[in-house]
Amino acid sequence: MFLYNLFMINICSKEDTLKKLEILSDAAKYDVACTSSGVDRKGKEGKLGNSVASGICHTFSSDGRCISLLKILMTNHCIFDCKYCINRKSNDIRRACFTPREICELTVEFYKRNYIEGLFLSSGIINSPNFTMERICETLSLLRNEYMFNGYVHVKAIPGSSDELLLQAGSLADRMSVNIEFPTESSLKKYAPNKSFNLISNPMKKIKDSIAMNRLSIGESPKLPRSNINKYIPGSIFNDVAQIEGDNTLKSSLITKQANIRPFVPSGQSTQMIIGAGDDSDYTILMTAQNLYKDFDLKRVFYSAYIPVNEDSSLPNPGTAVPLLREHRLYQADWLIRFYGFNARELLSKEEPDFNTYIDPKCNWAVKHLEYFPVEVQTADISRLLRVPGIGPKAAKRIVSSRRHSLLDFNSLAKMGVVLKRAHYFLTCNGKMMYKTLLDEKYITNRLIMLGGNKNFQQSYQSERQLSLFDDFGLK
Amino acid sequence: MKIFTYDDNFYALASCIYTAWEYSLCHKNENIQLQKHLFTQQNMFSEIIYVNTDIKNTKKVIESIKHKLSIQTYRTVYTAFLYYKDTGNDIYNYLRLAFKYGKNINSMSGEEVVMKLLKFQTAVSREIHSYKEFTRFKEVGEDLFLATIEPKHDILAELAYHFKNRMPSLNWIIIDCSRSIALIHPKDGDCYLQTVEKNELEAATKLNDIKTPYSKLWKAFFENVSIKERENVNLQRQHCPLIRRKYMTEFIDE
Repeated sequence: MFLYNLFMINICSKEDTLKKLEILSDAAKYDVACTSSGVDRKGKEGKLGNSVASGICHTFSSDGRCISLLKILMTNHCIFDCKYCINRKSNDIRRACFTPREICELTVEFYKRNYIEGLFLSSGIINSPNFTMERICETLSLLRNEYMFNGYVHVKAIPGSSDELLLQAGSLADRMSVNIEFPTESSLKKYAPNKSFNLISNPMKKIKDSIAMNRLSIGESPKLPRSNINKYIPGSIFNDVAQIEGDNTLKSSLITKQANIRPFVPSGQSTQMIIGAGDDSDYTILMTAQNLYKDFDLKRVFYSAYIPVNEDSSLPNPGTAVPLLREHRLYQADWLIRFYGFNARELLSKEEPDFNTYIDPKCNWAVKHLEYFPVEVQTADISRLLRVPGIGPKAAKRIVSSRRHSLLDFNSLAKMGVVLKRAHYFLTCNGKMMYKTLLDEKYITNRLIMLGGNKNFQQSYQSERQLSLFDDFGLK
Repeated sequence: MKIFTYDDNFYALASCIYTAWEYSLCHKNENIQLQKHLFTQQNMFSEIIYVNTDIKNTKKVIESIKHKLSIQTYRTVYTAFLYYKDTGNDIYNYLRLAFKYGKNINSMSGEEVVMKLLKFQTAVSREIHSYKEFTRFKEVGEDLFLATIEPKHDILAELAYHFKNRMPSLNWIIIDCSRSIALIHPKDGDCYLQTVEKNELEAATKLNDIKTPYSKLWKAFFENVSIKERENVNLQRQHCPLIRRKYMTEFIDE
């Protein structure tokens, strides 16, 4: 096996960079994480690059997703045989392998032309996890120390590699991620016979602990900073621990940061789950995501609608529709958990394990909990306002700060960014509702579904496809 | 009605605001408007007064905005000034309110003029952000990078902070084609602005990357990283509008 792998590297490195880039970016495209946010780092003379906390998307590909990082695999050779993966051992596809220097040069030259915000480096497992991780670390260290690259780097931790290598990669990168892929142990075993839950959670735990240790050593709280809206929501999942350790932030102001030491994975770690490959319900997926946020202090969980690439009896056939709407609903719910103080148990339950395709999760929750409404705009506190469909963190903050100065009416609410077409069923302003609407589950649901006009847009977008003259009638 | 006019720069506006303000203190009932000097419309009932820039008055206005109000208010005013239309009059009215109510002026979204200024600010800062994303450099000489952009608002100088921070040790130039101004950054030095002649502008847009493989590689990457099964051109157009694509490497066919 070892000889075979080395042999393949030699063959493939003879291909030119263009071909390799084609193969290896094509192989990396199913990884969804492409964020460059979370770190603010200033540029330095003699170095190349900085990092902006808001993140910068540099272009948008024809599937509408943003491209902010140079997303490539180091190699798409792999000794694992995961059923869902296009790069699995048993697939007969073109393989290639980048040398560390090629990756560095591509990154730096793309960066100088403002094409990208940084590097996203993942890899198939070549030879052994440690061997692969070593090469990744070599690349990163070359990039940081010889090419003087100071921009954003996202790196995949290879499950099963040693702790030292993880730590080395983490101290060079801005974000690390390990893909959990499936929400339960059983489905992971079924689709990825070489992986197990422990294999994935061990590096996650290691990274989490190291981040906490590093943050404590520079005088910050062990948990990563979250959106500040969570301060105002008592029920937020990020809050219970933060309150106990609240006084840590006080001490932190006394300690000055040591500027020369690179912080360990400053923008935290993330993971990804595949949607629609296994038979797990939305409830299991969301509960797993919430537990990951709580236990492993993940910054993000990404959801990736499964695109059938391999033929396998246990997987959807190639050509089946991609569950885009389901992915969208999960992202909506994910946002509700992280920015609105919802708990996964409120949104779904064992009796009702999947999301409604017609209405979004927040409206769905609202029509089922009408005892909570109507909310009075002038007096309700911010966590109550946030639960109204059509009001987001920004609008809620604006309402709270401007109602001190003047009485609000529905007109000024609309100007503040409240989406009244959803919100007006659930709000009163100075004791009055906007229209004479009933506070009745059936009535509101019907009205909400009818919103898009004659048909519910999100529903129709999913299943139907416009007939094409060329594909369907054979005109060419 | 009195119309005070000012030259097309921020210092002139600040100085004009000072003069108009002074005037309004003695003539409380008179209508006052501010307009850009060359775009003034003559009116039967109005008198036009051109205000020469007095740097002392400019300083007074800017200092008092910064100290009596807040840095945020100053930022709002300055970014609103960069808006592509003449916003002088709105800025004047906004400042009158701001000095009346104090530093919390931006949270008073009930007032129309405040909302207006905030809107200008959003529009301008969004464009600044989008040119941080979509500006594309070409390597036109050894270690010399050149980019051309065509922004709606006057944002070129604002881009300087970002790109200076990002590439401090490179020589680069960004040219605003719609206003014929260039932002020049020499290696390890400070940025400065310079006007560009028409023929220079044309020559600059025609220059090609001396290291062509990288634009070719970038295009290949751009094509390959998108998932065909999820194609959604509308979404792409929503995030990256056609108007911004004029100088973007991946959308130019060669």
